[in-house]
Amino acid sequence: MTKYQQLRELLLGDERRALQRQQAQIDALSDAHADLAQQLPALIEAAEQGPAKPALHQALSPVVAAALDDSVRRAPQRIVDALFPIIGPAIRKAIAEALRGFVLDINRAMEMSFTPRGLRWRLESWRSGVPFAQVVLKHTLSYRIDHLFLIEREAGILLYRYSAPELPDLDADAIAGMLTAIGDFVRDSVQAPGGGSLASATVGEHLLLVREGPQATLAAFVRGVPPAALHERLSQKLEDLHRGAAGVPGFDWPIEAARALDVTAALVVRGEEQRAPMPKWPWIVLALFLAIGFSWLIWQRIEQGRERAQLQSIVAAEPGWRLIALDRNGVWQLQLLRDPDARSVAHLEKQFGGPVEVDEIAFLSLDDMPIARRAERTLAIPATASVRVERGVLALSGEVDSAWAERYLPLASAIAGVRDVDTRALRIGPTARERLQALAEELNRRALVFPRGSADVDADQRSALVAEVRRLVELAQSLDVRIAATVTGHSDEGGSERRNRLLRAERAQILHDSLRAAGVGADQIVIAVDNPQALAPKATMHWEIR
Amino acid sequence: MSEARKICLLGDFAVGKSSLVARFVRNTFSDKYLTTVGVKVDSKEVRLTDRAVKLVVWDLAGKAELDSLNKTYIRGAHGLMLVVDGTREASLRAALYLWMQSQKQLAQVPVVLMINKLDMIDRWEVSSADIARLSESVPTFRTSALSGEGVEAAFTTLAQRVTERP
Ligand SMILES: Nc1nc2c(ncn2[C@@H]2O[C@H](COP(=O)(O)OP(=O)(O)O)[C@@H](O)[C@H]2O)c(=O)[nH]1
Ligand SMILES: [Mg+2]
Repeated sequence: MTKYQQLRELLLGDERRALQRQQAQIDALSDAHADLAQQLPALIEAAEQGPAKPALHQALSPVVAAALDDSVRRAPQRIVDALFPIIGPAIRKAIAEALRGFVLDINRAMEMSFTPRGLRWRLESWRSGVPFAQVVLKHTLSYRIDHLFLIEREAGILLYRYSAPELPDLDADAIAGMLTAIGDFVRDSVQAPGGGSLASATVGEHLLLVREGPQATLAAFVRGVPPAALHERLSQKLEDLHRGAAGVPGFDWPIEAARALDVTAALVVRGEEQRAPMPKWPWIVLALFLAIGFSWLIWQRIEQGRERAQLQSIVAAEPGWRLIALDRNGVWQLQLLRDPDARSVAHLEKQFGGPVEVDEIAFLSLDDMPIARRAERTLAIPATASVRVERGVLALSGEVDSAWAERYLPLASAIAGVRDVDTRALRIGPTARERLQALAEELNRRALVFPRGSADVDADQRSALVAEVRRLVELAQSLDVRIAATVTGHSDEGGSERRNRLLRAERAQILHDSLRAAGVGADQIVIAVDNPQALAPKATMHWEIR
Repeated sequence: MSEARKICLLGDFAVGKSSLVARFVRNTFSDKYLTTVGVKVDSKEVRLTDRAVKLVVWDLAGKAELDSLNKTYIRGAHGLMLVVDGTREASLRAALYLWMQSQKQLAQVPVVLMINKLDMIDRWEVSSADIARLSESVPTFRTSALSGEGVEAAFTTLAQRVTERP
């Protein structure tokens, strides 16, 4: 008999009693079946305690899920209210964590930007295609492995242990056991086939990293912020150990582990890198650049404001111009209303002293100046007259002839912008033709007067006549009118007839010559045949205007 | 580093497992793990005549039966400490039943039996005859977590047994 069988013997005595008890239980159960509903809560509770627990969970989970689903749909506010106290703090914490990480990264990247080392890392980032921030993190993150445990997987026995030297002692064996237990516990709770094990956890100021292998588990208590590469390195070490152990019967895990997990190597300690104090000059240069940039911007602003005001005042001062829009787009661009009778925009560029682009739109202005121009143009104001416009009142002055007055004066008040016409200062004279006629008639009454019995004429009289005839000639020329004169010599009663005839011819000839001297063409003068009309010592002329 | 051996305490509810561990080991973890994780691990170095051995003691939350989680907890154990409450006869059967159950998990590992609450011996239900019969098969100790009597001896015996095995 083995010890084990002996013990079974010991147990057997109780078995009958146990059977009787069970019979009683069965009876009680069938009685209880009737009011199962009342007992359901108790039964579920019991099932929860017993071996049927997984089955119970499986049976209930679809029902619970459906009920939850239903209540979420029907009374979402209740769920929200219930979750509120949990979600709020969780979100706040997550945001705070993220922000802290973000700020750290930014700080590091800023610090590293200007140092030679920073440039070297930039080069590394550029070469490797890894973002700069990550390269910086890789080089600057400081962390330390405080404890490293290699734990036998099944029993949770510690195979190898490293602890940083100056740390207080701890019960590594118990911790190893507990870690194993907790790992089992997590796996058992999660019940994920094949997966679901504890990979990392935060323990106080430590980050616990756990890597599980088939035979051993590696657990590292890390202080600080380890890079992702550490996880990989731990896995690598563990895999190496397993590879070494495979097929080696007497594999001495503790010794091999001590060799593999070379504690002094980079795996365990990564001291904080020496940080050179950040030089000041990059900041000064940066500040200088910023200052220059800002000053330039401000100056630009002021200058642009000044130019804008200048353009506005030029346009405002110019009659017949109105500014619609003013913009700067590399060059000043204006949209301008301009009366065609106002000054041209070339004037603007000249005044402003720089290039401008003008988009002009024609309009009729009621400013005095363009009205005056319009009046000059419309009324064909002769050189002898002038216009002035003051607050819409068109004042005409100077001299015009009646023909102009007849034709143009009625138009004056119809000119756009003219409110009233003032002609008090306008003298309306005869027309040129009338004056020509009058002059010719005047000359017809005039004569060259000779001394009795002589054909000599005094020079003053003659030159006065020449001057007057010249006026006639010029007036006729300006009117493009042809004039012709018939010249007649006269004699008085005394003297012989022969002598008188000679005198008449001579006197006519002298007048003829005088007219010629005044610019009258030879073909325009006819000397009348000896036909005495008047008995006087003179020569007369008769002008005809054609 | 001395050799480490995993010891699991098995026994019915309230027989005094945790109290015995508290008496024997240095307490590293709070008892709350017993309720949350269902186990609490402590360790103690035991000096034997020729060597030192580190006992890693797994105190499993008291149950009359091994559930699946407890079965994973006892995996790889080098020795078992069965704990019985001398004032409750049923706890003896529970301990033996648990042992039987653990047989499926563990190869024949050294076992030590503790009949606890020796300070209340006047109320014991477990008879001396039973104890005599048991001690023929298993090293059996009368212990008291309260007074500490027998505790050291029981653990030292188990330490001896677990280190004897290759
Ligand atoms: N008198 C006496 N009480 C004990 C002894 N050992 C444990 N107890 C008590 O028994 C109860 C259960 O003990 P505990 O260690 O939690 O039992 P466990 O469930 O097996 O871990 C507690 O109230 C202890 O104080 C003992 O040796 N003597
Ligand atoms: Mg307990």
